[in-house]
Amino acid sequence: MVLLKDLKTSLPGQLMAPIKITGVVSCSTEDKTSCAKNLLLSDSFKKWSTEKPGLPNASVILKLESEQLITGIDIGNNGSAFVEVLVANSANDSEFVNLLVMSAFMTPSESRNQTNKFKIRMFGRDELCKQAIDKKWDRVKIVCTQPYNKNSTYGLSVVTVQGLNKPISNTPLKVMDPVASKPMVTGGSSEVSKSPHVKRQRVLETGPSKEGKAASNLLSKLEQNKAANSKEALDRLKETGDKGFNRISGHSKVLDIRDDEEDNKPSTSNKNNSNKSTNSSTNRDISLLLTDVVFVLSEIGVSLGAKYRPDWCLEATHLICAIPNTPKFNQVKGKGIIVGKEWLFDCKKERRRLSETNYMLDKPKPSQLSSDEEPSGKSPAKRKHTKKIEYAESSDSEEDGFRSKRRKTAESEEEEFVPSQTISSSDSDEGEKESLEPVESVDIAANSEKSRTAILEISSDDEDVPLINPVSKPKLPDISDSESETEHANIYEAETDEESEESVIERLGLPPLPNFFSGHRFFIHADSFEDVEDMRQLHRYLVAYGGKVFEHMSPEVSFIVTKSESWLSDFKQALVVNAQVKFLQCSWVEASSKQLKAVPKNSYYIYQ
Amino acid sequence: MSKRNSGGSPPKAKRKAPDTGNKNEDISNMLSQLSDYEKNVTNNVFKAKAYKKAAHAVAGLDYKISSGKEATRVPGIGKKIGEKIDEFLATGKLKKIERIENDEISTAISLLTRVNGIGPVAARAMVEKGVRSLDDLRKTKDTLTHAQQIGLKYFHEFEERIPRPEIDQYKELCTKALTKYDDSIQLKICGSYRRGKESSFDVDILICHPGFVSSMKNPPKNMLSDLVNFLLSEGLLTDTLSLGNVKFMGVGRVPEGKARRVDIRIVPHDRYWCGVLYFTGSDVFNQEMRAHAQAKGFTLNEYSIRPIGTLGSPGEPLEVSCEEDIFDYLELTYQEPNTRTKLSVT
Repeated sequence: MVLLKDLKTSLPGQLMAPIKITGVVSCSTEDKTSCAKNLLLSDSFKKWSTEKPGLPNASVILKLESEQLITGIDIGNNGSAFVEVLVANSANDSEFVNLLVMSAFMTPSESRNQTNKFKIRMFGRDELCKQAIDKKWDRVKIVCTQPYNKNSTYGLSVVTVQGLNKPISNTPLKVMDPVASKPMVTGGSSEVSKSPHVKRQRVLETGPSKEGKAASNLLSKLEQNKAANSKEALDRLKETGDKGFNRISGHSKVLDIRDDEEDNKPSTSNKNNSNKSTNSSTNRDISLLLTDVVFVLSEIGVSLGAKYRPDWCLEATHLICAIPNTPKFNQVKGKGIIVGKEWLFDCKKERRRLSETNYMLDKPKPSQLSSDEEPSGKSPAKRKHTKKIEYAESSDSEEDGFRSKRRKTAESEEEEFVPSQTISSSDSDEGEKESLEPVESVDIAANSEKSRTAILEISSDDEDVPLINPVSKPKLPDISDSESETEHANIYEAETDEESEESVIERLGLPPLPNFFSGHRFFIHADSFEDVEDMRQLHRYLVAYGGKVFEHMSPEVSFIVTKSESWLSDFKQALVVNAQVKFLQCSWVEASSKQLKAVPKNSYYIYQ
Repeated sequence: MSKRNSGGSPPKAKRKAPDTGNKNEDISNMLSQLSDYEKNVTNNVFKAKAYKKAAHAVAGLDYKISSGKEATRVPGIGKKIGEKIDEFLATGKLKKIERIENDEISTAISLLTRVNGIGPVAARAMVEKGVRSLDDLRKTKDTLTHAQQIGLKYFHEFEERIPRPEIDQYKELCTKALTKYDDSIQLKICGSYRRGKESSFDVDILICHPGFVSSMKNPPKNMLSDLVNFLLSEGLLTDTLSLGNVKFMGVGRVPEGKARRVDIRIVPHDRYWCGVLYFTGSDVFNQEMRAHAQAKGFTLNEYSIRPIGTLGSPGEPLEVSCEEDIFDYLELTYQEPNTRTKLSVT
C-alpha cells in the first residue's frame, strides 16, 4: 500500500492538525435534519444533504477559527459525484480561489446504484492548488455536484481542514497523556484551554460526550438486546468508557502515588535505555501512526495514515464499526479486528497508536465477561491480530536501541504466546494488576479479568510503555484551573499502572533482539511486491532489527528496498526526492536476518 | 485526426473526402477541393474549415441536393456556399475551381503539398524557386529533408488507400511481434480502420505500456525508439519520417504489400482509453463529443476527461478503464466505433 507514486515530503518539525471550523457562513441548500451545521460536528452520523434531489449543485461556505495556512483537507462524502473546494479570506475580502480542483468521489454507476456513497478522500498538501497553499484563509467553500442521480439528495458527511500546527517542540508534552484524552472524560475539554492540542482534538470532542449519562441509563434498559439502531449502539460504546472512567475517578489514592512515581521515573527510563529521549517519541507526524492498518470504515475520517477500503478485503486489518452484529460485523468477525471508532479518535487524540483491546466490539463487554469466557478471547483469530499489529508499527521512533528492546517483546509475544499468558495471569493473582499495563488502566481498574488480556497488548501496543513516562510527567503543572477533578484522577491512574518494559521482558525471560539495521532508513517499494503479506514480512524484519521504515519517500530515506532485481523506471521518482538513495534488493534483508548482522550490500544494490 | 494537421504532414485532397455512401459525392468533392485550396494555397484556415465542414454536412445527407437554397438549410452551409452549389448544379463545374486548376502556381502548390513532409509554406517557397512538378522536385533532391525525400519516393503509394484486409495483416503481425518483444504492451489500430471502414489512408497504431503512466512527463527514454528499431528489424517498418518520445511517423510494409504510412503513438497506460477514443475519431465525432463534454461541464482531450470547476479550471482526471466510462461520465449512450461518424445524443 505504500506507493512510490505517493511521494510526499513532510514538513520537518511541523504537524498537521485540524483547523477548527467555527460556523456555517451560508449554504445553497440544506435538508431540515441533514443541515449544513452538521458539518461542524465530527459525528459522521450527522451529514449535510441537499434539500431535494436533482439539484445541479450544492455548496456550503464554512468559517474557520482564524485565518490559517491550509495543508490538507479530508472529505467524507455523502452521495456527491464530484467535490470541489475553494478558499477565501474574509479580512481582505478576497475572491474564492481553488484549493482543491473538482475531484471525483463516485463514478456514474456508483451514483446510479448509490453504492460507495460515503467514500473518504484525504488530500495532502501536494494535491492542493499551488496558489492556495502559501496563503492564509478563513473561509472554505465546498461545491458538490451529482449529475448522475436525480432521485437522491447528496452532500457531505465530514470535512476536516488540516492546518499547519506550531512546531512540535513547542507543544506541551501533556498532550500525549493517554488517559486525559480518553473520549468520554468530560464534555468540555475544549473549554479547558486553547492550547494547540485541544484544537487537534476537535474531532474527538464532539458526538459521544454530548449525551453523557443519560445514555448509560438508556443502555441499562437495553441491556442484552442487540442495538436496534446506530445511536443506541453509540451510546453503548460510550457506556463502556464511562464506566471505566467512573471507577477510576473514585481512586483518589492514585493521585498521591503518582507524585511519588514521578521521581522514580527517570531512573526507570535510564535503566530501560540510557539514550532514550523523551522528545523523540512525541516528535512525529501522527499521519504515520497507523500506516499499516487497512481498515473498513463506512464514514469516519481519519488522518492517521491508515488506508481505507470500502469493504472487507484480504489486505484489510481492522473494521471500524459502530454497532455489533451488523452484516459487515459478522462478515469480519474472526477474520479481523473489530473496534469502535473511538479507537481511531483516541489514537488521533493521543497521537500514538493505542491498543485495540479496549475498543474491540467482537469480544464480550467486560461486564459480560466471565472468567470462563476469557480463553475465547485468545482464539487463533485474536492471536493473529495481535501479531499483525505488533510488527506493523511504523516509522516513528528515532531510538534504535530503544526500539529493539520493544521489538523483543513483540517477538516473544508471538512465539511464546502461552507462557506470557500464564505469567500475566499469575501476576494478576498476585494483585499486581494495576502495575501491569499502563494504557489499559481504565479497564483494568474497572475489571480485573481484563488484566490478563491487557498484558498481551504490551507487545502489540509497544508504544505505550515508553510514551507514558515522559509524557504525563509535566501534566500536573500545566493543568489549568478549570480542568475537572475527574480528569486529574484519570491521568494519575495511568501512571500507577506502569511497569517498566524492562521488567516485563525480564519476567518473560526473553533475549534481546539484535539491532543491526540500526541507523538504516528504509522505504519499501511497494509496487514491486505482489504479495502484501510479503511486504509486511519485510517491514517486520526491518523494524524488528532496529531499522526505520518511512511511509513516504522522504529525503531522509537512505535505502529503498524492492522486490525487483533490476532497475525500474519509477525508481527515478525516488531519486528526485533523494538523489543519494540506494536501491536494495530485498534478498539483502533476508540474508542479513539469517546471519543476524547487516551483510555487505554491494551485491544487492540495483544500479541504473 | 490531429496527425493530419500536425508534424508537417498536410492533409491530402482525397484523404479529406467524406466517407463513401455519399449521395452528394460530387458536391462534397468540390467543397473539399475548395477547402484544400484555401488551406494550401491561400493559407486561409478559416475558409478551409468552413468548406470542410460544408463538405461533411453535404456528405452526411441522406438525400440528393437539388438546389443551393435547399442546401442552406443544412447547418454549416451559408449563402456563399449555396451559390456555389447552385453554380455547380447548373453547369456541372465551378469557375473558381477552373481558375484554380488553370493557375500554374496554385496547381503546383497543391501538387507539392501532396508530398509527405511538404506543407503549404514549404510548397510555396519551392514554387517560388521554380519547382512546378514532381520531376522538378526530384532534381532538387539534395535540398529536401529526409522525410520529404521519402514522401517523394512513395508519392503514389501514399496516395493510395490501404484496403482493410491489409490493415488486418498489420494488426496481426504487429500484435505478434510486439507480444514477442514485450507482452505487457497493449495496442490498437485506431483511425478509420477501427471505425470499420473498408479502406484507410494510413495505419494508426496506438500503444501503451505499464512502464509509462501519466505521472511521468515522458515515456522512459528509448521506449519508443527501441520498439521501432525492433519493428524495423522485423521488416514490418521500413523507413522513419520522424521519431519522437511519444510518436513515430514512418513507412511500413507487410509481405507482398505496398509501402504504407504508419504512425505509432505511445500514450500513458492510465490514459489509454482517452487516447483510443480520440484517435478512433471521426474528426466530426470528436468535435461534437468535446462540445457535448463542455456543455456537461467537462473537458475532454486525448489524455483525459476532467470535470470543470466553478471557476472554470479543470478538475482531476477521472478514472477511465474503457471507452464506455467516458460516455458514461458524459451521460451518453455508448457508440460503437463504426457509428462514430457523428455523435448521437439521445
